[in-house]
Amino acid sequence: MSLSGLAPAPPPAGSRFADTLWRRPALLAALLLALPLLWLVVVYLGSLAALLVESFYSLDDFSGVVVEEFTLATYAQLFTAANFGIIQRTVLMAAAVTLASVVVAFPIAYVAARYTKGAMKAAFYLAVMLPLWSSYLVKVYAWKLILAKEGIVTWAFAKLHLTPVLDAILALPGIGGNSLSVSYIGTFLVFLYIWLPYMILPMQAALERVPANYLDASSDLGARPAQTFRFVTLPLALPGIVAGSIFTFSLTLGDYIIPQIVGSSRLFIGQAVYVQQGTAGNVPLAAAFTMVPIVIMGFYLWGAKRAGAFDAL
Amino acid sequence: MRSDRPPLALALAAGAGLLFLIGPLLLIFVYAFTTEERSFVWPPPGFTLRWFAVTWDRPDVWSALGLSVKVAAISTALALVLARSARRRWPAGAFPAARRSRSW
Repeated sequence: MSLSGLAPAPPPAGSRFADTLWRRPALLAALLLALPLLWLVVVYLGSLAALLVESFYSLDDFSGVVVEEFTLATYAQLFTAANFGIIQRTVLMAAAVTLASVVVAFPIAYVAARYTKGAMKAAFYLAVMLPLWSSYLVKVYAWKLILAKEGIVTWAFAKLHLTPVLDAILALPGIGGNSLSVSYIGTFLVFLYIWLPYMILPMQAALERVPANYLDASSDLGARPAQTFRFVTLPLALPGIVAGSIFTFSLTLGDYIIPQIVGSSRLFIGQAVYVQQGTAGNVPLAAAFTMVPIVIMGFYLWGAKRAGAFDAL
Repeated sequence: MRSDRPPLALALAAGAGLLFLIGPLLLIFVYAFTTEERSFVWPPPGFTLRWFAVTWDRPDVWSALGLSVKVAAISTALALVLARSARRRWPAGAFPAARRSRSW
């Protein structure tokens, strides 16, 4: 029925339903979109709404039962020193990971977009996609091997006679630790590694769309390479950078496995959610914690839109 | 100014980035052959194919693999159906509101 509704020739006689669809494309669209929309609304938005409702409930401390009455007490709990520390730590980590992934990803994306073609471009894509095809957990554990006290990093520093440098890094207050695998530096490196492809791919897609003759025109008009980069390449690539940063930032905000395997014992938001809904049985607080990344991402997207990051789409 | 080769600094930065992406994956390959059982000693003290035999002989690995393939196939098929009907060549006028603005 939908095929005959789409055909350029008039639909076959006798098929009144197809006729109606042909005359009213909006109806056809509504019918075909009904299933995916239903999925999106019921399953996705529905679970989000349930979460929102749950976050306004509270947990009775004595009975351990969730009190299903509207209250803001659960949100107030987010601002106790311990919980707010978790939020602060997670947001700082997400920001650091995002900034670093922009810096690391940009040369890769730029070289891939501007200087490669054919087989070389395919090799670049493969190198970026390869980590995505192997298991997340295996990669995280591989990093534990790299960062562990008797691991590769220690070994490499020792071979290069740079052990004092590593010790100095580990002695840094706050982000250091006994070994890299139990320090914030380690958590940061693993986050950076795991989310880097999500930054490279949209960035490269944006850079591919920058017309080469814009760059020629810019230099013909007397711009130095740095100026061309600052005033032509960067603004045109910005939507891709923002798209990538949405991935790296939100994925870091929500992750609960990486900081558990590599890092200090202090919690991140994802782990707090995991602990609260699991062993503690405090689903309202877990829901309130979950709302934090959602709200932050809302402001982030709003800010990015106001900054004109989506104008070039 | 446009040339076929990237400036050296750019090429080095990109190469270092790619090494960062691929290195840990190679490491996983190497560790599949190590004779060391417990700790994370580097460099590996010896090479063995034992772990592949061990994995091959475990029925739980095979059943887990089968389940993963099954779930992946079903979810791919479902996503294909849902996405296919959402992202298609619509006849003109299917979305009356879409004519005015293209971006959001």
